[in-house]
Amino acid sequence: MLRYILRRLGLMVVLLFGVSVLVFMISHFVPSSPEAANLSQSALNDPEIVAAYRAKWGLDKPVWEQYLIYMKNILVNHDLGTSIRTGRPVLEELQQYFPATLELSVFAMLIAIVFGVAFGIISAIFQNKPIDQILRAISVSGVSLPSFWFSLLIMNLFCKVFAIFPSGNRYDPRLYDPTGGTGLYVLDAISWGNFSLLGDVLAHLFLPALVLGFFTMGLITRQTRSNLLEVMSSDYIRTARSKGMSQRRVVIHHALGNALVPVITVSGMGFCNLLGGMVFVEKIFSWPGIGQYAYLAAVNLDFPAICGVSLLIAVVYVVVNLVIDILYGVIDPRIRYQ
Amino acid sequence: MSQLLEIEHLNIRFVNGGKETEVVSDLSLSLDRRETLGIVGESGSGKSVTSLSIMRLHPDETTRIKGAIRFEDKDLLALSEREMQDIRGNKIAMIFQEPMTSLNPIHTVGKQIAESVLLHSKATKKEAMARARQLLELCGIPDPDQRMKEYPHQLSGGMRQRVMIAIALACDPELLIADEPTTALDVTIQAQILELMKAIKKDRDMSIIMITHDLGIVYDFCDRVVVMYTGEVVESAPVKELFAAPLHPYTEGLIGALPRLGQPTERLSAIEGMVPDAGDMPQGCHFHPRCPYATERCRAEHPPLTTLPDGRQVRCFRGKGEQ
Repeated sequence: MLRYILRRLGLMVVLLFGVSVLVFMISHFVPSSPEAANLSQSALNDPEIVAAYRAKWGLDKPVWEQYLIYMKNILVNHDLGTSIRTGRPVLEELQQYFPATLELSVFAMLIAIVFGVAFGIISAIFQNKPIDQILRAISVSGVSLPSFWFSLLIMNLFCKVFAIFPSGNRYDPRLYDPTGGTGLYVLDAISWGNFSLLGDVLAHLFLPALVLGFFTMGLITRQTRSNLLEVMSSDYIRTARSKGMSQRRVVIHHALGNALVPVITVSGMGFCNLLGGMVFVEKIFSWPGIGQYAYLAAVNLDFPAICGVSLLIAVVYVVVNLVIDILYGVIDPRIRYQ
Repeated sequence: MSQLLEIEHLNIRFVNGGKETEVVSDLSLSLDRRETLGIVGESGSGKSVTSLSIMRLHPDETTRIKGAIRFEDKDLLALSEREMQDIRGNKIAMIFQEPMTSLNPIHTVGKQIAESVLLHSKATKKEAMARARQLLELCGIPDPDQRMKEYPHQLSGGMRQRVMIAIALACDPELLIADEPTTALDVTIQAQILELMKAIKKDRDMSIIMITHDLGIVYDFCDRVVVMYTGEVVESAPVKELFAAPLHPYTEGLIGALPRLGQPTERLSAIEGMVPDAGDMPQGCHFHPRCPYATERCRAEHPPLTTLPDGRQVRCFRGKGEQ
């Protein structure tokens, strides 16, 4: 098991190297120039200013040299460069925005997994009964509704029509100032024992997390249902029943573990999908996270920021996949011993 | 009353859409304590469905069952699911045909055996594991301590079937149902598993129902045999008498189809024709299209199961009293 993890970590380094090359190349070959995006029209007409700008950001050097400088800065100086748009170090900015995104995506995944698995089990047990039909409608809407539209619908419904939830931002800035912690406000609020802040943070978190996790929840519900139904008709379930177990025990102890292996794959895919949906959801709910940062970096052709965000997302991707592969091994001994 | 199990007028239908198909019709049989009964028949003869219905493991929604299955004077078909759970694995245990897929791939062998012990006794986890180890040893599994910790995929088919037997024996059942326990195994392994089952039969106060299509196993292992064809009993007799003088043409055909050592034969004989489809049963005797002795009467009239003076039963106009 340990050797397996080490091998996977080795592969991860290779993968990240590949990603860094790709990201760097793609962002430099887009048919647009950073000076056009960042300099004013009058400055653009002055070749001297343009040349000075290009020299300042190293844009006058060949691409491979730029890449080597970039990698050297990351590995040796732990420096992801300086954002062209804001003039601040990219690493610092990522550190500022990432906790918000991490908190949002973890909660979105929690909602997706808890409700997805629960709905899937209920659907399978009450196959073709009304409750199964209702859950099917929910899960199918989850996988088919466009997330920007769903965000707007949910926001309008719960923040405006019913006004149950606050909209925008991560907390109410008139009442609280949760700075100075880890930036993961839920954890911070718990560690400070500040439960009114916790309530406020959770209230702000709920809708965007729901919208973000809705697709993955639908995916997980469908997958859990079909796997569980398949597993329930297998020979070893008949063996389990022949031992005199209650139906509940059979489902929990014998069926669920086997049914969840493919669900883990889907959860991984769902998580990656969720990172993509992040840009919309953060924009619509004014969530100060990586998604918004990435959006601003892209429209301003802020190369260091684009590369930084891409690398960060690649790392998250790879780590999530590693965790999933390890989870397989934990659940299914046939994989563990390969 | 020494009868452990009594099946009376069992009728099983599969429901598919609005269509019902009768797969077992008016089956009655009984089993004494410590008796080993063989149920023989081709695929589709209803023997596996019958055994599953004794355990009440048939799919509820698609199966309609009538009749009675009395076990220790309780009608199993009338028990609640909860009461049935106390009987399954405890009083009646079952071994299945497919050892490769009948064990849960994500639990250790030890856990899967101990689970049965824990379900039906007040044993602690430790005691249950000790019992599981003992059962593995009893079932002839070498290095039981190591095997306890292993997963099904690490064992061969024969070993897995031994584990299945260990699970079935976990609570000392009164009745063991073995549904083609050797069919999926290599011939040499088949012999080993059969030896093991014989040893178990000798040591324990247990009745066994052996479901098989292999007459060799029946001859070797059983006291009495019931031959099934298209969901009906066509013949029932003590094993020795059945082999010495089969009464039903189908049984005769089955015995005739067995290869014999020492008797050179060019071709193995086979019963002509095919088992008819459950939805398309021939008129009269179900076997008549394949029967070399069929008469006009067989084509028109369905023969009843007749009990002969010596206690043997046969469903044939011809067999009655002629032997």
